[in-house]
Amino acid sequence: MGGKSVIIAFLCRWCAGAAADLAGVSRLHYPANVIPVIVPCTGRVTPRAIVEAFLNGADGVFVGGCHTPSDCHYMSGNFKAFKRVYLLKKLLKQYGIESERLRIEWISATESQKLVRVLEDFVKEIEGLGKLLR
Amino acid sequence: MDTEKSPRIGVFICHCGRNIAGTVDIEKVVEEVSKIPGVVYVKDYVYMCSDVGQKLIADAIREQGLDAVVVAACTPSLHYETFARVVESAGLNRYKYELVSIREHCSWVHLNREEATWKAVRIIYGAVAKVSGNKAYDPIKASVVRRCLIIGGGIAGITAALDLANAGVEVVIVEKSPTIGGKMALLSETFPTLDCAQCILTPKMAEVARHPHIKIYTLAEVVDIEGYVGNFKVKILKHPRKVDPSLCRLCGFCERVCPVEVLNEFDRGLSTRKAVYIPFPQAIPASYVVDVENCTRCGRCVKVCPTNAINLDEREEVVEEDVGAVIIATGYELYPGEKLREYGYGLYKDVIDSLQFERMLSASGPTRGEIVRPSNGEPVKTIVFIQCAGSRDDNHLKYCSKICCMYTAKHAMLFKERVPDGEAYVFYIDIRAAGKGYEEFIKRVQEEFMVNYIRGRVSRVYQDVDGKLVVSGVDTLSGKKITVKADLVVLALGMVPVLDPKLASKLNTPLDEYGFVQEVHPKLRPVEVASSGIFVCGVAHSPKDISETVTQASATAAKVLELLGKEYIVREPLIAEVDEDRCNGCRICASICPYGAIEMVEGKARVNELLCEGCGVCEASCPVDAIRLRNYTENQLLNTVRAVLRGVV
Amino acid sequence: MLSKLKMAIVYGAICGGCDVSIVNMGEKLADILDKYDIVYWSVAVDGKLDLLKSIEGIDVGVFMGGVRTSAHLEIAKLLREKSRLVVAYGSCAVYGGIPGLASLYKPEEIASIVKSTISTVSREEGSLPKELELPKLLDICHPLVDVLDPDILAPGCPPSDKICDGLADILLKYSSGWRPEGKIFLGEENTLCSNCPRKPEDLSKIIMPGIYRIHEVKIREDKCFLEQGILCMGPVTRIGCDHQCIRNNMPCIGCMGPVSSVDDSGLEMVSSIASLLHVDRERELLEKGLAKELDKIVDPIASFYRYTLPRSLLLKIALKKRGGGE
Repeated sequence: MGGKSVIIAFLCRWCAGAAADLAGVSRLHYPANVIPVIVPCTGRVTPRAIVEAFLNGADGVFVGGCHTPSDCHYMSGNFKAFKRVYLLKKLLKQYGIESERLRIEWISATESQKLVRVLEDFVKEIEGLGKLLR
Repeated sequence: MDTEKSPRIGVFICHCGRNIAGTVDIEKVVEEVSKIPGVVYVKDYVYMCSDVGQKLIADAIREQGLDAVVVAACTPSLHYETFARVVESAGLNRYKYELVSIREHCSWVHLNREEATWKAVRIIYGAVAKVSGNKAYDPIKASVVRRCLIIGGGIAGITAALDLANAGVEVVIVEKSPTIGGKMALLSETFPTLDCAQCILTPKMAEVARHPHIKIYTLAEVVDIEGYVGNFKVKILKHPRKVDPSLCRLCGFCERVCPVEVLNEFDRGLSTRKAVYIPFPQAIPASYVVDVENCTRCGRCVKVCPTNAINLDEREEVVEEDVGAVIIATGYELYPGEKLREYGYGLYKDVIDSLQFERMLSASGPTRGEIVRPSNGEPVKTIVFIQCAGSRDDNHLKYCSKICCMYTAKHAMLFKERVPDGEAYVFYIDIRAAGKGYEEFIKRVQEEFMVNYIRGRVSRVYQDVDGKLVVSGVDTLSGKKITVKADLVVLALGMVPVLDPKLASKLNTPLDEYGFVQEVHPKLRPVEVASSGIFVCGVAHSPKDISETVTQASATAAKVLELLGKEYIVREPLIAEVDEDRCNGCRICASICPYGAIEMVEGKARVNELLCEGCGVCEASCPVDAIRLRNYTENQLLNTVRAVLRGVV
Repeated sequence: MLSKLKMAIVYGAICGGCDVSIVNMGEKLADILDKYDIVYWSVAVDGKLDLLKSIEGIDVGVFMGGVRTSAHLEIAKLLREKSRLVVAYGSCAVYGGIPGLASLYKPEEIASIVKSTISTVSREEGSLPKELELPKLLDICHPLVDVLDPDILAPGCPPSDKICDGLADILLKYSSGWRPEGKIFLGEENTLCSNCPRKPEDLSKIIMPGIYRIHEVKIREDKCFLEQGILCMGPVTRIGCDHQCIRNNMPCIGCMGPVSSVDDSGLEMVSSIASLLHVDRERELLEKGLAKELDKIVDPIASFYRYTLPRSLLLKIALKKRGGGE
C-alpha cells in the first residue's frame, strides 16, 4: 500500500458487516486501506486483538457494531464492546498513543452510506495522525 | 493447527465473471496466496458457485487430500451454505471451510486495481489464518419433550393451548385462580363488534376442559424450573381446592349454609360471596372451591354436600411436570386506583374502575346489568369516564395502556344504550383507535350516541354535600375549566403486568423496566424470550386487546411447534467451550453471558450447549482465556490480525 | 566440614522491601545461613562493586529490583557470569515492578525532573557535579528477565512468606546436591479467584455495581470485591501470597503478576472489568452512564499495570512511537 496508512475494521456479521455487503452491492466506494475482519459480534473483539493490530502495523482500528440499546443480534455484545473500547482508549492516552486511532461506531445493516462516510472520515483522520510505528 | 501433520489448505478464488476479475488481478492473488505456508493448492475459476466450480473444489479436496478450504468470492450471506455442502460432499467437515468476500468488501468498492489486489490478498491471508485453527464439529443434537407448559389460563393461554393441543402437542396449563378464563371472563361485551365476551370465551374454555391433550392445574403456581430448551423440569405448587371437582355437582347447598361472607373478587368487590363458592357459573373446572383464607372450618358445607365432595383437610401439593417449552401468558392487573389520590378511588364508592364497570354492565353481574350507584343503588344519570388514569403519566405509568380509548368508548356507548336520557362524558388526552373498525367505532360513539368527549385532564374528583361527585377538569380545546356533577365516575386504569420477578428470574426471562416480558427482538423474534425455549404472549408482553392477544398467542404456538415439531433439536456446534484446566472459577463469563448459558459447576465454568448462541462475549471477557468460542478462539483472532497485517511493519 | 555455598544479593532499582522480606524469613534464614555464605549484600555486609567483581564461583545469585540504569545492567550481567543459579527476586526483577512505571517517560524527561528538583548550595541549581560519572538511564526500567534468563523467579512485592518459604526450600535442597530441571517459577499457575476466601459457594454471577475506591464503600469482609464495585486484580493474578491483602480487607493489586499463560494481564483485565461493569444495567445507563462510571478509573495504568508495565504490549508500541529502540 506504499506509504498509506492501514486500518483494520472489526465488523460484526449481523450489522456493520451486512452494511459492508450492502455497500458492495450498491457499488459505493471507499478507501482500500481499510481491511475488514468479520466477527460474529463486536462483543467478541478483545482489547488484546485491537492492540495486536496496532503492534503489527495498523495505524487505525475501527470497530463496527449494531446500534445500542436493542439491535445487537446477541442482545448486549455491543455494550461490552463499547465499554472495552472506552477503557482501552483511556489506556492508549496514558501511553501517549492517540486514542483517536481507535474508533467504535454503530452501523445497522442498511446503513451502508453511513459506513462509507464514517470509514472515509476515519481514514482521513488517520492519515492526519500519520503512521503509528515509524 | 489441530493435527500433528502439516496443514493442507486449498484456496479457491472466484472471478465472478468480471465482478471480481475486472478489478482484482487474479493472477497476482494466486501468486501471492500460493506462497502462504500451509497452502498446498490454489485454483481460480470464473464462477466458483457454478456446477463446474463446485466440482473443482470437491475434486481438489479428494485428489489433493485437503484438510481445510478457503473460498474467496462473494459474501457468506449469499453462498456460505452452497460451498459448505460442496465441502461436505467431498468428505471434509463443513467447519473446516471459510468463505470470504473479495467482491462486496473489495472489488465492488474499490477502483484502483493495485490497491484492490493488495487488499484481496490480505483478506485471503486472514481467512487462511482463521481456517488453520478451525476444528471439525458435528451439529449438536438433543431430544425434546413434546409437551408445553403454559403459565396463565386467560384467553392468551387458552388460545395457545388449543392451537398446540390440536397439533398433537401435550399442554399443561397452570393458572393461579380457581378457574381459567382470565380477565376476559369478567367482560360484558368486547369492542368493536360488541360480541358477548362469555359467548366467545366459554366454548373455548369448555374445549380446553375436554381436550385429551390439555391438562389444567388451577389454584396452582410454578415455583421452580430447571433444565433448558427441550428438557425443562417444572415444579408446580397446587393450593388445596378442598372440593373434589370430579364429585362436585354444582348444587350449591354448601354455599347456602356457609356462614362466611366476603367481597367477591370476580365481581371486583362489587358484591359478596361465601367462603365456599364458584367463581362464575361457567368456571372451568366446573366445581366449587373453598376460600382457605376466610373459611372458619365450621364444617356445615361438608355435612350438606350430597356427594361428599368437600374435604377441609386437603393439603397443598407439589407436582412435577416435564416439558420442552414454556409459554408465559400471565396477563395483567389494573394499576391500583388508590395511587391516583386526586380521583378519590377507594375513598368514594361511586368512583370505580373499568373492570368494575364491566361487571356492572354484565347481565350476570352484581347489578344484573343495571347501571346504578354503588353507594346507594340509585340509577346513574350522569356518568364520567376518565381515560389515561395512571397511564402516560411520568408519576405513574409512563406507557400507554392501549385499550382504554376503545373500551371507554364501548362503555359510554353501552351506557347510552341503557340510559338513553343519561349524559356521558369522556375526559381524554388523545384517542388511540388504530385497529380495524376502531376509528369508525369511536366516531359512532361520539356522533350517533352523543357522548361528550372532552379533551383535557381531570384535576380532582370530590364529593359534594348532596353525595354526588364533582369532576373538575379542563377542556383544552375551548381553553375553559369544566366541572361535571356525576353520579358515577369510571377510571380507565392502566394495565400492569403481574409476572412475579422471582419466577421470571427462574425462567431466565428478562423483564423491562415496567415488568413486562422483554422479547428478543420486536421484529425478528417478537414472541421469543432470550432464554431458549421460553415464549410470551398477551399482556404479559405488553398492553394489547383481545384480538392482538389471540394473534400473538397463535404466533407463540407456532414457534413452540417449530421447536417441538421435530424429534431432536439440532443446533449449530460453534459454541463456547471451557478448558477446565485453565478455568479458575472467577465467574466473569457466567455473569456476562446474555443467554445464561454458563453455570459454575464445582468451581469451574460450564457451557450449556443447548443455550449457547456462539457470540463469543465470554471468551473476550475471560481473563485467562479459559473459555473459547469454537472456530473463533482468541488465538485464531490474533493470528487472523497478524496475517492480515503481514509485512506491514 | 563441608565448605558453605556462596550466595550474593545484588540490587537493581530497589525500595528495600525485598531485603526486609529476606530478613523476615526468620528461622529459615538461619537454616540457609548454615549452608550458605552471603558474600555480597550491600545492606548487610560492607562491599563495593569491586568486591563482587573479585568473587568467583557464586552458587546462588539473587537479583532484586528493576534494571533501570547501565550500572544495574552491568551488575546483572556480572551476576549471571559468576553465578550458577540466578534468582529474579521480587516483582521488580520479574516484571519491572513499581520502578517500571517510570517507563512511561523518556529517560531525558526523568533526568530533567530529577535535575529540576535537586537543590544544592555549592552549585547552580539544576547542574550536576562533573566529577561524578552517573550511570545512564536505560530506555525503560527492564525486568531482569529482559536482560538474562534467570533460573528461579520469585514474584511478589515483596515475595510473600509462602514464596520465601518455597525459595528457602529450594536453596536448602540445592545445598544438598539437588539440581533443578528447567526454570522454576514460584507460586502456582492458578489465579487468586480459584481459592479466594471471598468467593461464594453457590452464587454463580457477579454483579459489578459500579466502580468505587476503597474509601468510598464500607467494604464487606465476606463478599467478593468485584461484587462491591472495587477493582481487584485477582482474576488474573498468580497464587502464591496466600491472599494476604484479600484476607485483610484490601483488594488485590496484582503484585504477584499474572499466571504464565497470560501475555498481557492489563489488557485482559481491561476486558474483564469493562465487560462486567453494570452488566445488569446496560440498557438503562446506555453509553453515557457507562462511560461516566468508567471515568472513575482515572489511572488505568496504575489499576491494571501497577507491577507489570514494562511487560505491556502497549509499551512496545509507545516506545516505537517515541523513536527509541528496545
